Amino acid sequence: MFIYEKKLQFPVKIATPNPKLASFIISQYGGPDGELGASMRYLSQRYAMPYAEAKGVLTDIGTEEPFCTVF
Amino acid sequence: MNMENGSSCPMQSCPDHSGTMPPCAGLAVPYVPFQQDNPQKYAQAEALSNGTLFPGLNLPFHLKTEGSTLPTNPLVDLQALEFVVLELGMYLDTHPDDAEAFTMFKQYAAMEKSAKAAYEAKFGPLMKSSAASGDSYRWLQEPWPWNYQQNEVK
Repeated sequence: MFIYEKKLQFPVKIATPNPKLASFIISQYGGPDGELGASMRYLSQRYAMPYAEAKGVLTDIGTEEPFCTVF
Repeated sequence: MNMENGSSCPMQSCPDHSGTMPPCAGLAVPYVPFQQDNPQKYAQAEALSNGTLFPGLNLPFHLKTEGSTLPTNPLVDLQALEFVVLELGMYLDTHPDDAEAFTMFKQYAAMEKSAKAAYEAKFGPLMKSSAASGDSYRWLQEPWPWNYQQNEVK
């Protein structure tokens, strides 16, 4: 389940706005082989995971993976 | 030496930057040293700034900075507390019997909870559910996370 928090996870300071770099970053995030896809893979791998520790780790990583960005 | 299986290391006194390995290990298999119980920890601001709660995992791949380089304000304080709760939570997934870490986890979770309530009382709701506990609906109030003043370098 997804719950939105109206704040960043880490303070961000943009010294030089750079749309070209931003478009590269957003594709690393939501594009092919991006963070969002990785997140879904972590969360799906849990269903076949036999170890409790790893179920926990996959849940935590799959949850945090995509949400360290500016949203 | 334990010749039965290599599942646990009897020696628990490696230095903080080292981890345990199976005493008898399968051939031709690479291993990742396992983080030991009760590792050293940073204070929350240093943890958030370094990107890890644990000095032992702060590997100097790049320029190593140990002190916090972050501004000090209520939001960063809250972010630092949340980061420690996150890190301890993940550590406990793989070290669920570390009683000291669990105690710290409970303390930091409580600190995070009260810091969040104090922040929301002053600056407005961070979560939709807390938007319900004010005199008026403040969810739409500026700033949104991408509009904070601190994001801009003057």
